[in-house]
Amino acid sequence: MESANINLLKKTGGSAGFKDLEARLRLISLWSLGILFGIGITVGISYFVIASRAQALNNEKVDLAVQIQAQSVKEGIIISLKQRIVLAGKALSSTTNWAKLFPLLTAIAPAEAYDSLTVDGTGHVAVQFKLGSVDAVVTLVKNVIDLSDNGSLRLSQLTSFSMLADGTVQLGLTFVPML
Amino acid sequence: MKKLLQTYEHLIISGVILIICVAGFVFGIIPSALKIADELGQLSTLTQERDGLKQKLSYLQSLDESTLRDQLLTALSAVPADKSIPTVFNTVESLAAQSGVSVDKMQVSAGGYIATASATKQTPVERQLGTRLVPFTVTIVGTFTGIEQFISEAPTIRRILRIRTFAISFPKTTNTISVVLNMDAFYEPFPTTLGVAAEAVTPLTDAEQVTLEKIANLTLLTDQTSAILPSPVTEKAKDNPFAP
Repeated sequence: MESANINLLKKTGGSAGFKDLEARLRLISLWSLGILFGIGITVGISYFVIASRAQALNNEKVDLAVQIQAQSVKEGIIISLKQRIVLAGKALSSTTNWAKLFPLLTAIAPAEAYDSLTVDGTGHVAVQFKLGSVDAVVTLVKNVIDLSDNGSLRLSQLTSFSMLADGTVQLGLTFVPML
Repeated sequence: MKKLLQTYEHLIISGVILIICVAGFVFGIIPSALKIADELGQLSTLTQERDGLKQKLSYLQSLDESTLRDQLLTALSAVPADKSIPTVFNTVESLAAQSGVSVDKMQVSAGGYIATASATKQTPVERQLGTRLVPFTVTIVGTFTGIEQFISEAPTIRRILRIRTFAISFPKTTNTISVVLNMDAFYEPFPTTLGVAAEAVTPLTDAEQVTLEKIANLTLLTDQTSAILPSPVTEKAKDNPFAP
């Protein structure tokens, strides 16, 4: 019986090993192509989904920003309020309450003994006394020592002492009150 | 050559397909995957920004504007937005009257430039304090008790006053004593810019609430305030705030 194959060009080198390699390579290439398409479609869909989600979020952000802008007066007030509270806190903390100084002054000497009193920016108090007798001076110094001992005063210093012809004594004192 | 091609025809086709696949992976899939990873990162950022905006909007909507205005006016009566020298004078005079002493002389030590407050340069002391000052000198005349009351109560009033130094002289001939006080009042201009929409606005902290209460508890001796607050928004907001 005559062969039905009309191909006159017969394949050569068609060893079993070669044919096996050719078949395997064909299979690998087809699988690779399939995987490539699969991944490509997955990546494409993922990108589309993510881009759509990003667009939706951007639109939502714009809507929210518009609504926030409508509340801009409130935002301005709350920002100003917070700033003002911080400033007021700083201002309050920089003030010194001199109320506690006056009981100390009374404890050192009666009001009529004072000639002048100066408080400087560092909290040092300089006092000039005009006292009627040395006994009054002794009492005053004792009071200052007592107040220093109990921690109401610190750095107390006698800056001047002079006795006038009429028996009055002028006394200069500096100290830092513990307010 | 033709024979060679014919012999290895399937092998060549498979090879070309494999090369196309490798090229597809290298030049198509990998860059796309990287782009997707990048987009995912951006998506996460966008979600955070959206949540932040939602939170901010919800907080702003929960605030009562009139309460906020009252709170701001309270804070402004302590530290106004401009020098407001009349309120300094009024406050000192009212405090003196309340203490039973009289103001003999009052002088603003440094009027400053005739310019908007925000245009003036801060002194080193102001920079250290973090707020601007109106330094002034006042001479008070009265009894020892009255002067004691004036000095003691000065830090407990709105607007906030600071006594820097003072000097008391005690004349022997009369019961009236005088004190020269170097004082400071505080002021600070409003911030000129608002933050961007995405910038968070946080509620008042506990410490801020305490300070606000402290300010509200200070004695207000004058009704005058120089505060001009923005009026409520009545016009429609732009649809797209990012549009020019």
